[in-house]
Amino acid sequence: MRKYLYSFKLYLVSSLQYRFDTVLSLVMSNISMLVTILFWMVIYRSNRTEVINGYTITDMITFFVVSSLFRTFILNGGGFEISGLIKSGELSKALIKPHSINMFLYWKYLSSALFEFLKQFLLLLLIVPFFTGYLTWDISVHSVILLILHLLTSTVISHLIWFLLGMMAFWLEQAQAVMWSFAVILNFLSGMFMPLDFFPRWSVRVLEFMPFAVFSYIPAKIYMNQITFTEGVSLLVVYISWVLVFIVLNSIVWKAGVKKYSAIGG
Amino acid sequence: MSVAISAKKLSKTYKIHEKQEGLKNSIKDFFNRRYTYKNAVNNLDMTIEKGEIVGLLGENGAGKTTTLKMLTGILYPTSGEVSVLNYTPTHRKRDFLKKIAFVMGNKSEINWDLPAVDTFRYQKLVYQVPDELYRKNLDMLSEMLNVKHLLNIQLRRLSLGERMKMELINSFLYSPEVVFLDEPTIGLDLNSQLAIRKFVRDYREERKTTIIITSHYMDDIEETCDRVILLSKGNKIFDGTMNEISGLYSSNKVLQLVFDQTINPNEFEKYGEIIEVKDNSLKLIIKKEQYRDIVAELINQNRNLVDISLTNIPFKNIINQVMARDGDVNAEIPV
Repeated sequence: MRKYLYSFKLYLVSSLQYRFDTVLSLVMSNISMLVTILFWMVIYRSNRTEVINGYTITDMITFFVVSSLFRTFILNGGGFEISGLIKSGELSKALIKPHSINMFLYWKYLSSALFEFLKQFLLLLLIVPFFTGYLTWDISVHSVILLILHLLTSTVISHLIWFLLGMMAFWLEQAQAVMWSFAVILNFLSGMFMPLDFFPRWSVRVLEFMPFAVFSYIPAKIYMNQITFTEGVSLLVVYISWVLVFIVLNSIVWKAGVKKYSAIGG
Repeated sequence: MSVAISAKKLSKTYKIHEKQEGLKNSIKDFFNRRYTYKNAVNNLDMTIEKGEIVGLLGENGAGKTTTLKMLTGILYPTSGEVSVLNYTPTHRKRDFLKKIAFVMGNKSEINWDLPAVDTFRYQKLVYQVPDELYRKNLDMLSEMLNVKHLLNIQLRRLSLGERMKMELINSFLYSPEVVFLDEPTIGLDLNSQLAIRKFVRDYREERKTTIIITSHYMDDIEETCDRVILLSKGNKIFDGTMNEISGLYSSNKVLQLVFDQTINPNEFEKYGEIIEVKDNSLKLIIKKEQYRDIVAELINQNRNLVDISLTNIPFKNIINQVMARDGDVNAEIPV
C-alpha cells in the first residue's frame, strides 16, 4: 500500500512544478461551467420564470458550480494512460514491475484530482463573496461525511470505467477515439448539461442507479440537501456494488489483454 | 556454479499482417486478410551461469530483443522451455519480478519532471527494499557512476548520458539477481560509454550479478562480457567465451600497410580480405605464414612503403567473420 501512497505524493509534487500551467488550466477548466450557467440564466430570463422543474435560478447555479467542482473527481487519466502505454509498447516496462498498474494509476490520478479540487475550491472561495445571492451554503456534518464517501466512490468507479475503456487498446488501434466519444455520453449521463431529474420521471430512478450518477449529480444533490441521508446511504451501497462489478470486469479484461499483448510483444 | 538462465528449443513466431499497396488492395485486404509468419527466434538453446556476463550479438532483427523479452516474461514463447532463476518468466510472480531488472536504453522509466531521487524512493517501495540496503545501494551506485551531485536535479535537465546512469541506478537499486541490459549505451558519447562499461564490470565483481547485454557497439561487448552468443535471423550461430573468440582464426593476422601516396585498394585484393581503407593506408587479413612473401613482393615492386605492422584480428572483425560464415568458425577466411 505504501508504494501507491508514495506515487500519490510524487505526482502531487510534480504537478506543483509548473506554475503557469496550473493557473492556465484553472481558467480554462471553468469556461465550460460558466457557459452552461450563462445558458441557463438566459433560459430563466427568456421564460420570465422563477422555477423550472423545481429548480430556482439559485439552485441551478449552485448545482452547476458544485457539480463542476465534484467533476474533478472523475479520474479518466488512468484510462488514457493505459491505452497510450499499450499502443506505444511502453506497457512492457510496467509489466515487469512487481506492482499493480491499475492501482498505481489510480493513486497517481487521485493525487492530481485532489490537487485540481483544491485549486478549484480556492478559486471558488475567492469568487463566492460576489455571488452570495446565487449560491446556497448550508450543509450538515453527516451530509459532509456522506458526500465525501460518495466522492471517494466516484473516483474509484470512474477510474475503473476509464481503465476498462483504455484496455480496448489491446484490441483496437483507435481506442482513444472511442474513449472520447464515450466521454460525451458519460458527461450527459452524469448530469453535466442538465440535472438528471430533468429527464422523464421513470428514467430518473434508473439513471440514479447507474454508476455515472455518482460522478457529480448525486454529490451535488447531497450538497443541496435534496437527498435524504438514508437515501444517500442506500445509493452509496448501489455504487459500491458497481465498484465490485467493475473490479471483476477489469481483472478479466486485463488478463485477456495482457495475454494478447504478450503474444505479439510490445 | 549454478544455472541462472536456461532455455531449451525456445522459439517465437510472429504473425504479420501483410498488405499490398494501393486503395484497391486495401479494400481487398479489409475482407481477406493475408498473414505471413516470421520466426523471430528459432530453437534457441542456451544456459547462463550465475554471475556470468553474456553478450547477445546480432544484426537488427536477429532476435536479440525478442529473446530478452521472453526471458523477462513480457513475451510468451511460441514453443520451447525457458527458466530464469527457476521461475517461468511469463507467470510474472512478484518474487521473480523482484529479482530481475530490464534496462532498455531507448525507453526511460524515470519521471521527467522530478529529480531522480524521487523515482528511486518510489522504486524502493515497489521493490520493498529495506531502508538500510536502499541507502547503501544508492550510495554505492551513485558513487560508482559518479552522479551523486545530480540526484536532486530535475531529470529533464540532465544530459542523455547522465539520464542513462540514473536509469541504471533505478534498475540496480533493489539488488536484482539477473539484469538484462538492452542497448545500454545507445546514443551515448564515448566517456559515458566507458563509464557504463566500467560500471557493469565493477558491479559484477562486487555483487556476482548475472548480466545479459545486447549492444551494437562491439567495444561494449568486448570490454564487459565473459561470453558471447551470436544470433542471426533468429538462430544461434555461435556461443563461446572471449578466450575462444580471440583464439579463432589465429592463423590469420591483420597486416597494416601505410604508403606515402594514395593507393588503389584493388591491387591488394589478391593478398587477403581488405577490412579498412584510407587514402594512403589499408588493413587486410592475411595468412600468418604469407606475411614474409607479401612484404617481400611489395618491396620488390618498389612501392613507397612508410610503415608495415602485423597485429591480431580485432574482436569486432572476428565477430564479423563469424557472422559472415554463419557461425561456421572452422571455415577458413578466403585469402
